[in-house]
Amino acid sequence: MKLRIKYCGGCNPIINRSRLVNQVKDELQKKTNVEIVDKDADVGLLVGGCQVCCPNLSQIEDQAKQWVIVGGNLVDYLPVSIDQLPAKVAEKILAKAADN
Amino acid sequence: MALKTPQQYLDELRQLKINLYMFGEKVENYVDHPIIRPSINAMAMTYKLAHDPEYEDLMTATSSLTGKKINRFTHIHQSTEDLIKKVKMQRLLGQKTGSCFQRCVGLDAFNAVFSTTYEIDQAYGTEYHQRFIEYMKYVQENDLAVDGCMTDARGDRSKSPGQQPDPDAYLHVVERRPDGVVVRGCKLHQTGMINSHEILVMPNNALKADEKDWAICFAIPLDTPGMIYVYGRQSCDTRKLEGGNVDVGNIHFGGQEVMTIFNDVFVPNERIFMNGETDFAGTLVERFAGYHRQSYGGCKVGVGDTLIGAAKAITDYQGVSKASHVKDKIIEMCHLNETLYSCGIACSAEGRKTAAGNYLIDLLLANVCKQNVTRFPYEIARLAQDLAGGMIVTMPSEKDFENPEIGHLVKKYVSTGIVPPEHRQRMLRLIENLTMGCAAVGYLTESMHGAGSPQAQRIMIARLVDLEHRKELAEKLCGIKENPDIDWN
Repeated sequence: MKLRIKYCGGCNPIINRSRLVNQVKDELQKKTNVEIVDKDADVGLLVGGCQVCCPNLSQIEDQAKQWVIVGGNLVDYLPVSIDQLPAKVAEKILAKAADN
Repeated sequence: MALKTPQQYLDELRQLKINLYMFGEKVENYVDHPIIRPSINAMAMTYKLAHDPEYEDLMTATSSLTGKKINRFTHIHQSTEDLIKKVKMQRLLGQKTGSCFQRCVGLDAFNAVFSTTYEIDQAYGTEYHQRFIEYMKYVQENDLAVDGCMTDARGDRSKSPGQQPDPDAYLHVVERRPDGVVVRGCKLHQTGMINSHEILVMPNNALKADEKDWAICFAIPLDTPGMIYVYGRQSCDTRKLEGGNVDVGNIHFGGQEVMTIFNDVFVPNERIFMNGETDFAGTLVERFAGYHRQSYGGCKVGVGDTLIGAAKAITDYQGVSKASHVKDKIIEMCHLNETLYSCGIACSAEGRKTAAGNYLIDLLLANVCKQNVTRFPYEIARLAQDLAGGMIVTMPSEKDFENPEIGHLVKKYVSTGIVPPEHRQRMLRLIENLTMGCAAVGYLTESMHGAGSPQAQRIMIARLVDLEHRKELAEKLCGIKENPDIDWN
Protein backbone atom coordinates (compact mmCIF):
# COMPACT_ATOMS: atom_id res chain seq x y z
CA MET A 1 0.00 0.00 0.00
CA LYS A 2 1.25 3.45 -0.89
CA LEU A 3 0.84 5.85 2.01
CA ARG A 4 1.24 9.64 1.94
CA ILE A 5 1.95 11.21 5.30
CA LYS A 6 1.43 14.93 5.87
CA TYR A 7 2.11 16.56 9.24
CA CYS A 8 0.80 19.85 10.58
CA GLY A 9 3.44 22.34 11.66
CA GLY A 10 3.40 21.11 15.25
CA CYS A 11 3.01 24.37 17.19
CA ASN A 12 0.89 23.10 20.07
CA PRO A 13 0.47 19.32 19.88
CA ILE A 14 -1.51 17.26 22.36
CA ILE A 15 -0.20 14.03 20.80
CA ASN A 16 3.30 12.92 19.81
CA ARG A 17 2.86 12.96 16.05
CA SER A 18 6.00 11.12 14.95
CA ARG A 19 5.49 8.43 17.58
CA LEU A 20 1.92 7.97 16.39
CA VAL A 21 3.05 7.63 12.78
CA ASN A 22 5.64 5.01 13.72
CA GLN A 23 3.06 3.07 15.70
CA VAL A 24 0.59 3.26 12.82
CA LYS A 25 3.25 2.01 10.37
CA ASP A 26 4.01 -0.89 12.73
CA GLU A 27 0.31 -1.76 12.87
CA LEU A 28 -0.06 -1.59 9.09
CA GLN A 29 3.00 -3.67 8.42
CA LYS A 30 1.43 -6.54 10.34
CA LYS A 31 -1.20 -6.65 7.57
CA THR A 32 0.44 -5.33 4.40
CA ASN A 33 3.58 -3.82 2.89
CA VAL A 34 3.71 -0.06 3.29
CA GLU A 35 5.51 2.28 0.94
CA ILE A 36 5.72 5.93 1.95
CA VAL A 37 5.23 8.18 -1.08
CA ASP A 38 4.79 11.88 -1.83
CA LYS A 39 2.02 11.47 -4.42
CA ASP A 40 -0.20 8.89 -6.11
CA ALA A 41 -0.89 7.28 -2.74
CA ASP A 42 -3.68 4.84 -1.99
CA VAL A 43 -4.35 6.60 1.28
CA GLY A 44 -3.14 9.85 2.80
CA LEU A 45 -2.66 10.36 6.52
CA LEU A 46 -2.98 13.96 7.71
CA VAL A 47 -1.50 14.21 11.20
CA GLY A 48 -2.50 17.29 13.17
CA GLY A 49 -1.09 17.65 16.66
CA CYS A 50 -4.26 19.23 18.03
CA GLN A 51 -7.95 19.18 17.17
CA VAL A 52 -7.65 22.23 14.93
CA CYS A 53 -5.64 20.18 12.40
CA CYS A 54 -4.81 23.31 10.43
CA PRO A 55 -3.12 22.07 7.20
CA ASN A 56 -5.19 22.96 4.16
CA LEU A 57 -6.24 19.57 2.84
CA SER A 58 -7.50 20.98 -0.44
CA GLN A 59 -3.92 21.85 -1.41
CA ILE A 60 -2.72 18.23 -1.08
CA GLU A 61 -5.89 16.25 -1.52
CA ASP A 62 -4.93 14.99 -5.00
CA GLN A 63 -1.81 13.31 -3.63
CA ALA A 64 -3.88 10.40 -2.29
CA LYS A 65 -7.12 8.71 -3.32
CA GLN A 66 -8.55 8.99 0.19
CA TRP A 67 -7.44 10.63 3.41
CA VAL A 68 -7.56 9.78 7.08
CA ILE A 69 -7.53 12.93 9.19
CA VAL A 70 -6.06 12.94 12.69
CA GLY A 71 -6.44 16.05 14.82
CA GLY A 72 -5.15 15.42 18.33
CA ASN A 73 -7.40 12.72 19.68
CA LEU A 74 -9.87 12.98 16.79
CA VAL A 75 -9.82 10.53 13.89
CA ASP A 76 -11.96 11.71 11.00
CA TYR A 77 -13.48 14.22 13.45
CA LEU A 78 -14.63 11.65 16.03
CA PRO A 79 -12.93 11.30 19.43
CA VAL A 80 -10.73 8.30 20.18
CA SER A 81 -8.86 7.64 23.42
CA ILE A 82 -5.15 8.40 23.02
CA ASP A 83 -4.05 4.81 23.73
CA GLN A 84 -6.37 3.54 21.00
CA LEU A 85 -5.18 6.04 18.39
CA PRO A 86 -2.59 3.91 16.52
CA ALA A 87 -4.92 0.94 16.12
CA LYS A 88 -7.87 3.13 15.12
CA VAL A 89 -5.85 5.09 12.57
CA ALA A 90 -4.41 1.91 11.07
CA GLU A 91 -7.89 0.39 10.90
CA LYS A 92 -9.20 3.47 9.08
CA ILE A 93 -6.30 3.44 6.63
CA LEU A 94 -6.82 -0.22 5.79
CA ALA A 95 -10.57 0.29 5.38
CA LYS A 96 -10.06 3.21 3.00
CA ALA A 97 -7.39 1.32 1.05
CA ALA A 98 -9.85 -1.54 0.65
CA ASP A 99 -12.46 0.92 -0.67
CA ASN A 100 -10.22 2.03 -3.54
CA MET B 1 -40.63 34.14 5.73
CA ALA B 2 -36.88 33.57 5.83
CA LEU B 3 -36.24 36.90 7.54
CA LYS B 4 -38.80 38.17 10.00
CA THR B 5 -39.31 41.89 10.58
CA PRO B 6 -39.15 43.30 14.13
CA GLN B 7 -42.86 44.09 13.91
CA GLN B 8 -43.70 40.50 12.93
CA TYR B 9 -41.60 39.32 15.86
CA LEU B 10 -43.44 41.62 18.29
CA ASP B 11 -46.82 40.55 16.90
CA GLU B 12 -45.95 36.91 17.45
CA LEU B 13 -44.92 37.52 21.05
CA ARG B 14 -48.31 39.12 21.66
CA GLN B 15 -50.00 35.93 20.49
CA LEU B 16 -48.17 33.77 23.03
CA LYS B 17 -50.28 32.94 26.06
CA ILE B 18 -47.69 32.19 28.70
CA ASN B 19 -47.90 31.64 32.42
CA LEU B 20 -45.65 34.49 33.63
CA TYR B 21 -45.23 35.89 37.14
CA MET B 22 -43.43 38.99 38.40
CA PHE B 23 -43.49 40.62 41.84
CA GLY B 24 -45.87 37.88 42.97
CA GLU B 25 -48.48 38.62 40.35
CA LYS B 26 -49.43 37.10 37.03
CA VAL B 27 -48.47 39.26 34.05
CA GLU B 28 -50.91 39.27 31.14
CA ASN B 29 -49.53 41.76 28.60
CA TYR B 30 -45.82 41.29 29.05
CA VAL B 31 -44.81 42.75 25.69
CA ASP B 32 -45.76 46.26 26.83
CA HIS B 33 -44.66 45.89 30.44
CA PRO B 34 -42.16 48.69 31.16
CA ILE B 35 -39.78 46.38 33.03
CA ILE B 36 -39.82 43.70 30.32
CA ARG B 37 -40.10 45.73 27.13
CA PRO B 38 -36.44 46.94 27.01
CA SER B 39 -35.31 43.30 26.84
CA ILE B 40 -37.76 42.65 24.00
CA ASN B 41 -36.39 45.69 22.19
CA ALA B 42 -32.88 44.24 22.46
CA MET B 43 -34.02 40.95 20.95
CA ALA B 44 -35.97 42.83 18.26
CA MET B 45 -32.71 44.46 17.18
CA THR B 46 -31.47 41.02 16.04
CA TYR B 47 -34.39 41.02 13.57
CA LYS B 48 -34.08 44.65 12.52
CA LEU B 49 -30.41 44.68 11.61
CA ALA B 50 -30.79 41.57 9.44
CA HIS B 51 -32.86 43.67 7.03
CA ASP B 52 -30.34 46.51 6.88
CA PRO B 53 -27.89 46.32 3.94
CA GLU B 54 -25.35 48.04 6.18
CA TYR B 55 -25.32 45.04 8.53
CA GLU B 56 -26.57 42.08 6.52
CA ASP B 57 -23.10 40.67 5.87
CA LEU B 58 -22.82 39.91 9.57
CA MET B 59 -26.48 39.47 10.42
CA THR B 60 -27.43 36.97 7.72
CA ALA B 61 -26.04 33.76 6.27
CA THR B 62 -26.95 31.21 3.64
CA SER B 63 -28.58 28.15 5.16
CA SER B 64 -26.62 24.92 4.76
CA LEU B 65 -29.95 23.10 5.04
CA THR B 66 -32.14 24.99 2.56
CA GLY B 67 -29.82 27.30 0.62
CA LYS B 68 -31.97 30.26 1.66
CA LYS B 69 -30.90 33.54 3.21
CA ILE B 70 -31.44 33.31 6.96
CA ASN B 71 -30.75 35.25 10.12
CA ARG B 72 -27.26 34.27 11.35
CA PHE B 73 -28.79 33.54 14.76
CA THR B 74 -30.35 30.42 13.21
CA HIS B 75 -27.26 29.36 11.24
CA ILE B 76 -25.30 26.11 11.49
CA HIS B 77 -21.68 27.29 11.19
CA GLN B 78 -20.06 26.06 7.98
CA SER B 79 -16.55 27.49 8.33
CA THR B 80 -14.19 29.36 10.61
CA GLU B 81 -15.32 32.47 8.75
CA ASP B 82 -18.84 31.82 10.04
CA LEU B 83 -17.49 31.50 13.58
CA ILE B 84 -15.64 34.80 13.23
CA LYS B 85 -18.68 36.56 11.78
CA LYS B 86 -20.72 35.31 14.70
CA VAL B 87 -18.39 37.12 17.14
CA LYS B 88 -18.46 40.27 15.03
CA MET B 89 -22.24 40.16 14.87
CA GLN B 90 -22.36 39.89 18.66
CA ARG B 91 -20.04 42.85 19.09
CA LEU B 92 -22.23 44.86 16.75
CA LEU B 93 -25.37 44.04 18.71
CA GLY B 94 -23.68 44.79 22.03
CA GLN B 95 -22.83 48.21 20.64
CA LYS B 96 -26.35 48.81 19.37
CA THR B 97 -28.14 47.76 22.57
CA GLY B 98 -25.65 48.28 25.42
CA SER B 99 -27.13 45.16 26.93
CA CYS B 100 -27.57 41.43 26.53
CA PHE B 101 -29.62 40.84 23.37
CA GLN B 102 -30.35 37.26 24.45
CA ARG B 103 -30.46 35.38 21.16
CA CYS B 104 -26.98 33.81 21.35
CA VAL B 105 -27.96 30.95 23.65
CA GLY B 106 -30.19 29.52 20.95
CA LEU B 107 -27.50 29.80 18.27
CA ASP B 108 -24.98 28.12 20.54
CA ALA B 109 -27.42 25.35 21.42
CA PHE B 110 -28.26 24.71 17.74
CA ASN B 111 -24.65 24.11 16.84
CA ALA B 112 -23.90 21.98 19.90
CA VAL B 113 -26.97 19.79 19.41
CA PHE B 114 -26.32 19.51 15.67
CA SER B 115 -22.91 17.87 16.04
CA THR B 116 -23.78 15.86 19.16
CA THR B 117 -26.91 14.28 17.69
CA TYR B 118 -24.87 13.15 14.69
CA GLU B 119 -22.38 11.44 16.96
CA ILE B 120 -25.09 9.82 19.09
CA ASP B 121 -26.62 8.38 15.92
CA GLN B 122 -23.22 7.07 14.83
CA ALA B 123 -22.81 5.31 18.16
CA TYR B 124 -26.36 4.03 18.72
CA GLY B 125 -28.10 3.96 15.36
CA THR B 126 -30.69 6.48 16.55
CA GLU B 127 -32.32 9.11 14.33
CA TYR B 128 -31.88 12.25 16.39
CA HIS B 129 -29.76 14.11 13.86
CA GLN B 130 -32.26 13.96 11.00
CA ARG B 131 -34.98 14.91 13.48
CA PHE B 132 -32.91 17.90 14.56
CA ILE B 133 -32.26 18.92 10.95
CA GLU B 134 -36.02 19.01 10.36
CA TYR B 135 -36.40 21.11 13.50
CA MET B 136 -33.67 23.49 12.34
CA LYS B 137 -35.38 23.91 8.96
CA TYR B 138 -38.52 24.94 10.85
CA VAL B 139 -36.51 27.38 12.98
CA GLN B 140 -34.74 28.90 9.98
CA GLU B 141 -37.83 29.11 7.80
CA ASN B 142 -39.76 30.90 10.57
CA ASP B 143 -36.77 32.91 11.85
CA LEU B 144 -37.49 31.82 15.40
CA ALA B 145 -35.85 33.03 18.59
CA VAL B 146 -34.99 29.96 20.65
CA ASP B 147 -33.83 29.87 24.25
CA GLY B 148 -30.93 27.44 24.72
CA CYS B 149 -31.81 26.06 28.12
CA MET B 150 -29.20 24.31 30.28
CA THR B 151 -28.70 25.35 33.91
CA ASP B 152 -30.77 23.31 36.37
CA ALA B 153 -31.76 24.25 39.92
CA ARG B 154 -29.11 21.71 41.06
CA GLY B 155 -30.06 21.40 44.73
CA ASP B 156 -27.06 20.15 46.71
CA ARG B 157 -24.08 20.90 44.47
CA SER B 158 -22.04 18.09 46.02
CA LYS B 159 -24.48 15.49 44.67
CA SER B 160 -25.04 14.33 41.10
CA PRO B 161 -28.55 14.48 39.59
CA GLY B 162 -29.37 10.89 40.51
CA GLN B 163 -28.24 11.37 44.12
CA GLN B 164 -30.35 14.46 44.88
CA PRO B 165 -32.91 14.13 47.70
CA ASP B 166 -35.33 15.84 45.31
CA PRO B 167 -34.87 14.31 41.83
CA ASP B 168 -36.49 17.40 40.32
CA ALA B 169 -33.39 19.43 41.23
CA TYR B 170 -32.27 18.50 37.72
CA LEU B 171 -34.84 18.40 34.93
CA HIS B 172 -35.68 14.78 34.17
CA VAL B 173 -38.14 12.40 32.58
CA VAL B 174 -40.94 11.43 34.99
CA GLU B 175 -43.08 9.47 32.56
CA ARG B 176 -42.43 7.63 29.31
CA ARG B 177 -45.28 7.25 26.82
CA PRO B 178 -45.38 5.71 23.33
CA ASP B 179 -45.67 9.18 21.79
CA GLY B 180 -43.20 11.03 23.98
CA VAL B 181 -42.07 11.82 27.51
CA VAL B 182 -43.20 13.97 30.42
CA VAL B 183 -40.50 16.08 32.08
CA ARG B 184 -40.27 17.91 35.37
CA GLY B 185 -37.69 20.33 36.76
CA CYS B 186 -36.53 23.91 36.63
CA LYS B 187 -33.97 25.76 34.56
CA LEU B 188 -32.53 28.88 36.19
CA HIS B 189 -31.07 32.10 34.76
CA GLN B 190 -32.78 31.69 31.39
CA THR B 191 -31.65 34.63 29.32
CA GLY B 192 -34.32 36.00 27.02
CA MET B 193 -36.65 33.11 27.79
CA ILE B 194 -39.98 34.87 27.41
CA ASN B 195 -38.71 36.81 24.39
CA SER B 196 -38.30 33.51 22.55
CA HIS B 197 -40.67 31.40 20.49
CA GLU B 198 -39.20 28.06 21.52
CA ILE B 199 -37.08 26.42 24.21
CA LEU B 200 -34.26 24.00 23.38
CA VAL B 201 -33.50 22.05 26.56
CA MET B 202 -30.17 20.31 27.20
CA PRO B 203 -28.78 18.41 30.19
CA ASN B 204 -26.87 20.43 32.76
CA ASN B 205 -23.75 18.28 33.05
CA ALA B 206 -21.99 14.98 32.35
CA LEU B 207 -24.05 12.08 33.66
CA LYS B 208 -23.50 8.61 35.07
CA ALA B 209 -24.74 5.53 33.23
CA ASP B 210 -27.66 5.08 35.66
CA GLU B 211 -28.85 8.69 35.22
CA LYS B 212 -30.67 8.10 31.94
CA ASP B 213 -33.77 10.05 32.96
CA TRP B 214 -31.67 13.20 33.17
CA ALA B 215 -30.07 12.66 29.74
CA ILE B 216 -32.83 14.43 27.83
CA CYS B 217 -32.61 17.04 25.08
CA PHE B 218 -35.72 18.43 23.41
CA ALA B 219 -37.48 21.49 22.02
CA ILE B 220 -40.95 22.80 22.84
CA PRO B 221 -42.90 26.00 22.12
CA LEU B 222 -42.86 28.60 24.89
CA ASP B 223 -46.59 28.26 25.54
CA THR B 224 -46.56 24.50 26.07
CA PRO B 225 -48.96 23.45 28.88
CA GLY B 226 -47.20 23.03 32.21
CA MET B 227 -44.62 25.78 31.65
CA ILE B 228 -44.34 28.44 34.37
CA TYR B 229 -42.09 31.50 34.07
CA VAL B 230 -40.99 33.69 36.97
CA TYR B 231 -39.27 36.93 35.97
CA GLY B 232 -35.92 37.56 37.62
CA ARG B 233 -35.61 41.02 39.13
CA GLN B 234 -32.61 43.20 38.51
CA SER B 235 -30.86 45.95 40.39
CA CYS B 236 -32.81 49.22 39.98
CA ASP B 237 -35.53 47.48 37.89
CA THR B 238 -38.41 49.50 39.34
CA ARG B 239 -36.92 52.72 38.02
CA LYS B 240 -38.56 51.61 34.77
CA LEU B 241 -41.93 52.08 36.50
CA GLU B 242 -41.22 55.69 37.49
CA GLY B 243 -42.28 57.16 34.17
CA GLY B 244 -39.11 59.11 33.35
CA ASN B 245 -36.44 58.26 30.83
CA VAL B 246 -33.22 59.54 32.41
CA ASP B 247 -32.70 57.56 35.61
CA VAL B 248 -33.01 54.22 33.80
CA GLY B 249 -29.69 54.98 32.10
CA ASN B 250 -30.24 52.92 28.96
CA ILE B 251 -33.58 54.26 27.84
CA HIS B 252 -34.48 51.60 25.23
CA PHE B 253 -32.72 48.32 25.96
CA GLY B 254 -32.06 45.76 28.67
CA GLY B 255 -31.53 42.09 29.42
CA GLN B 256 -33.75 39.43 30.91
CA GLU B 257 -33.33 36.32 33.07
CA VAL B 258 -36.21 34.02 33.92
CA MET B 259 -36.72 31.12 36.31
CA THR B 260 -38.30 28.50 34.06
CA ILE B 261 -40.34 25.73 35.64
CA PHE B 262 -41.30 22.58 33.76
CA ASN B 263 -44.25 21.33 35.77
CA ASP B 264 -44.94 17.93 34.15
CA VAL B 265 -44.55 19.00 30.54
CA PHE B 266 -45.23 16.62 27.65
CA VAL B 267 -42.63 16.44 24.88
CA PRO B 268 -43.56 14.57 21.68
CA ASN B 269 -41.06 12.09 20.21
CA GLU B 270 -40.39 14.20 17.13
CA ARG B 271 -39.02 16.96 19.36
CA ILE B 272 -36.63 14.73 21.36
CA PHE B 273 -32.94 14.87 20.37
CA MET B 274 -31.37 12.82 23.18
CA ASN B 275 -33.13 10.37 25.43
CA GLY B 276 -31.01 8.37 27.81
CA GLU B 277 -27.64 8.48 26.03
CA THR B 278 -25.81 9.52 29.18
CA ASP B 279 -22.36 9.14 27.63
CA PHE B 280 -23.08 12.06 25.28
CA ALA B 281 -24.45 14.47 27.89
CA GLY B 282 -20.94 15.71 28.72
CA THR B 283 -20.12 16.25 25.05
CA LEU B 284 -23.26 18.31 24.52
CA VAL B 285 -22.62 20.42 27.61
CA GLU B 286 -18.97 20.96 26.73
CA ARG B 287 -19.80 22.09 23.20
CA PHE B 288 -22.66 24.38 24.22
CA ALA B 289 -20.49 25.91 26.93
CA GLY B 290 -17.62 26.27 24.46
CA TYR B 291 -19.73 28.12 21.92
CA HIS B 292 -21.19 30.31 24.63
CA ARG B 293 -17.76 31.11 26.02
CA GLN B 294 -16.81 32.22 22.52
CA SER B 295 -19.96 34.39 22.40
CA TYR B 296 -18.79 36.46 25.34
CA GLY B 297 -15.74 37.47 23.31
CA GLY B 298 -18.21 39.35 21.10
CA CYS B 299 -21.25 40.51 23.05
CA LYS B 300 -19.44 41.76 26.17
CA VAL B 301 -16.94 43.55 23.95
CA GLY B 302 -19.77 45.40 22.22
CA VAL B 303 -21.24 46.45 25.57
CA GLY B 304 -17.71 47.36 26.67
CA ASP B 305 -17.49 49.66 23.66
CA THR B 306 -20.52 51.55 24.93
CA LEU B 307 -19.05 51.84 28.43
CA ILE B 308 -15.74 53.09 27.04
CA GLY B 309 -17.71 55.59 24.99
CA ALA B 310 -19.58 56.69 28.10
CA ALA B 311 -16.32 57.07 30.02
CA LYS B 312 -14.82 59.15 27.23
CA ALA B 313 -17.96 61.29 27.07
CA ILE B 314 -18.18 61.96 30.80
CA THR B 315 -14.52 62.98 30.99
CA ASP B 316 -15.16 65.40 28.12
CA TYR B 317 -18.31 66.72 29.84
CA GLN B 318 -16.48 67.16 33.14
CA GLY B 319 -13.43 68.84 31.65
CA VAL B 320 -10.83 66.23 32.59
CA SER B 321 -10.26 64.44 29.31
CA LYS B 322 -6.86 66.04 28.69
CA ALA B 323 -5.32 64.79 31.93
CA SER B 324 -2.73 62.13 31.13
CA HIS B 325 -3.98 59.65 33.75
CA VAL B 326 -7.50 59.97 32.35
CA LYS B 327 -6.28 59.22 28.83
CA ASP B 328 -4.28 56.31 30.17
CA LYS B 329 -7.27 54.84 31.97
CA ILE B 330 -9.35 54.97 28.80
CA ILE B 331 -6.50 53.32 26.88
CA GLU B 332 -6.42 50.59 29.53
CA MET B 333 -10.18 50.06 29.13
CA CYS B 334 -9.68 49.71 25.36
CA HIS B 335 -6.74 47.34 25.83
CA LEU B 336 -8.79 45.07 28.09
CA ASN B 337 -11.81 45.18 25.81
CA GLU B 338 -9.81 44.41 22.65
CA THR B 339 -8.05 41.56 24.47
CA LEU B 340 -11.45 39.96 25.02
CA TYR B 341 -12.24 40.45 21.34
CA SER B 342 -8.91 38.91 20.37
CA CYS B 343 -9.83 35.81 22.35
CA GLY B 344 -13.24 35.61 20.68
CA ILE B 345 -11.67 35.90 17.24
CA ALA B 346 -8.83 33.50 18.07
CA CYS B 347 -11.04 30.65 19.26
CA SER B 348 -13.12 31.14 16.10
CA ALA B 349 -10.17 31.26 13.70
CA GLU B 350 -8.84 28.09 15.31
CA GLY B 351 -12.20 26.33 14.97
CA ARG B 352 -12.54 22.92 13.40
CA LYS B 353 -14.96 20.83 11.44
CA THR B 354 -17.02 18.26 13.35
CA ALA B 355 -18.05 14.83 12.11
CA ALA B 356 -21.50 16.30 11.41
CA GLY B 357 -19.93 18.93 9.16
CA ASN B 358 -20.53 22.09 11.16
CA TYR B 359 -17.73 24.03 12.81
CA LEU B 360 -16.78 24.05 16.47
CA ILE B 361 -14.64 26.68 18.17
CA ASP B 362 -11.26 25.79 19.68
CA LEU B 363 -12.38 24.76 23.14
CA LEU B 364 -9.17 25.72 24.93
CA LEU B 365 -9.13 29.24 23.51
CA ALA B 366 -12.86 29.65 24.11
CA ASN B 367 -12.33 28.79 27.76
CA VAL B 368 -9.42 31.21 27.97
CA CYS B 369 -11.69 33.82 26.39
CA LYS B 370 -14.40 33.32 28.98
CA GLN B 371 -11.90 33.22 31.85
CA ASN B 372 -10.76 36.70 30.82
CA VAL B 373 -14.39 37.77 30.54
CA THR B 374 -14.89 36.84 34.21
CA ARG B 375 -12.33 39.53 35.07
CA PHE B 376 -11.84 42.27 32.49
CA PRO B 377 -15.36 43.77 32.41
CA TYR B 378 -15.07 44.29 36.18
CA GLU B 379 -11.83 46.22 35.68
CA ILE B 380 -13.32 48.18 32.79
CA ALA B 381 -16.31 49.00 35.01
CA ARG B 382 -14.01 50.00 37.88
CA LEU B 383 -12.13 52.37 35.61
CA ALA B 384 -15.39 53.82 34.29
CA GLN B 385 -16.53 54.52 37.85
CA ASP B 386 -13.13 56.01 38.64
CA LEU B 387 -13.43 58.37 35.67
CA ALA B 388 -17.10 59.20 36.28
CA GLY B 389 -16.58 60.31 39.88
CA GLY B 390 -18.82 59.86 42.88
CA MET B 391 -21.70 61.66 41.20
CA ILE B 392 -22.87 58.39 39.63
CA VAL B 393 -24.12 57.30 43.05
CA THR B 394 -25.05 60.62 44.66
CA MET B 395 -26.82 62.49 41.88
CA PRO B 396 -30.41 63.53 42.65
CA SER B 397 -33.24 61.84 40.82
CA GLU B 398 -34.69 62.90 37.51
CA LYS B 399 -37.73 64.28 39.33
CA ASP B 400 -35.56 66.60 41.40
CA PHE B 401 -34.14 68.05 38.19
CA GLU B 402 -37.68 68.84 37.08
CA ASN B 403 -38.98 70.12 40.43
CA PRO B 404 -40.31 73.69 40.06
CA GLU B 405 -38.80 74.85 43.38
CA ILE B 406 -35.34 73.28 43.34
CA GLY B 407 -34.85 72.04 39.75
CA HIS B 408 -32.97 75.14 38.63
CA LEU B 409 -30.61 74.85 41.61
CA VAL B 410 -29.97 71.14 41.02
CA LYS B 411 -29.15 71.86 37.38
CA LYS B 412 -26.94 74.81 38.34
CA TYR B 413 -24.80 72.67 40.62
CA VAL B 414 -24.68 69.69 38.29
CA SER B 415 -23.65 71.91 35.40
CA THR B 416 -20.01 71.94 34.35
CA GLY B 417 -20.57 74.72 31.85
CA ILE B 418 -19.28 72.46 29.09
CA VAL B 419 -22.47 70.62 28.13
CA PRO B 420 -26.10 71.01 29.25
CA PRO B 421 -26.61 69.52 32.75
CA GLU B 422 -28.97 66.93 31.28
CA HIS B 423 -26.16 65.48 29.15
CA ARG B 424 -24.00 64.92 32.20
CA GLN B 425 -27.02 63.54 34.06
CA ARG B 426 -27.84 61.07 31.28
CA MET B 427 -24.26 59.89 30.78
CA LEU B 428 -23.73 59.32 34.51
CA ARG B 429 -26.94 57.30 34.63
CA LEU B 430 -25.78 55.19 31.70
CA ILE B 431 -22.50 54.42 33.49
CA GLU B 432 -24.48 53.60 36.61
CA ASN B 433 -26.78 51.36 34.56
CA LEU B 434 -23.86 49.45 33.07
CA THR B 435 -21.76 49.11 36.20
CA MET B 436 -24.29 48.66 39.00
CA GLY B 437 -27.79 48.98 37.55
CA CYS B 438 -29.92 46.75 35.34
CA ALA B 439 -27.26 46.28 32.67
CA ALA B 440 -24.65 45.21 35.22
CA VAL B 441 -26.59 41.95 35.44
CA GLY B 442 -25.47 41.24 31.89
CA TYR B 443 -22.18 43.09 31.77
CA LEU B 444 -20.74 42.02 35.11
CA THR B 445 -22.44 39.12 36.89
CA GLU B 446 -23.32 37.35 33.65
CA SER B 447 -19.68 37.80 32.64
CA MET B 448 -18.74 36.05 35.87
CA HIS B 449 -21.25 33.19 35.87
CA GLY B 450 -22.86 33.02 32.44
CA ALA B 451 -21.63 30.10 30.30
CA GLY B 452 -20.11 28.68 33.47
CA SER B 453 -18.45 30.21 36.51
CA PRO B 454 -14.68 30.88 36.47
CA GLN B 455 -13.72 27.53 37.97
CA ALA B 456 -15.52 25.69 35.15
CA GLN B 457 -13.15 27.28 32.63
CA ARG B 458 -10.10 26.49 34.75
CA ILE B 459 -11.11 22.84 34.86
CA MET B 460 -11.38 22.83 31.08
CA ILE B 461 -8.06 24.63 30.64
CA ALA B 462 -6.40 22.04 32.89
CA ARG B 463 -7.93 19.27 30.79
CA LEU B 464 -7.00 20.74 27.43
CA VAL B 465 -3.42 21.89 28.01
CA ASP B 466 -0.70 19.24 27.63
CA LEU B 467 1.61 20.09 30.53
CA GLU B 468 3.86 17.06 29.96
CA HIS B 469 4.64 18.39 26.49
CA ARG B 470 5.65 21.71 27.99
CA LYS B 471 7.74 19.97 30.66
CA GLU B 472 9.57 18.06 27.96
CA LEU B 473 10.29 21.29 26.07
CA ALA B 474 11.99 22.67 29.18
CA GLU B 475 13.86 19.44 29.88
CA LYS B 476 15.27 19.42 26.36
CA LEU B 477 16.42 23.03 26.60
CA CYS B 478 18.34 22.61 29.84
CA GLY B 479 19.92 19.28 28.95
CA ILE B 480 17.95 16.90 31.14
CA LYS B 481 16.55 15.17 28.08
CA GLU B 482 18.30 14.43 24.82
CA ASN B 483 17.34 16.90 22.10
CA PRO B 484 17.39 15.29 18.66
CA ASP B 485 16.54 18.65 17.11
CA ILE B 486 20.21 19.63 17.62
CA ASP B 487 21.52 17.64 14.73
CA TRP B 488 22.53 19.85 11.84
CA ASN B 489 23.70 16.98 9.58
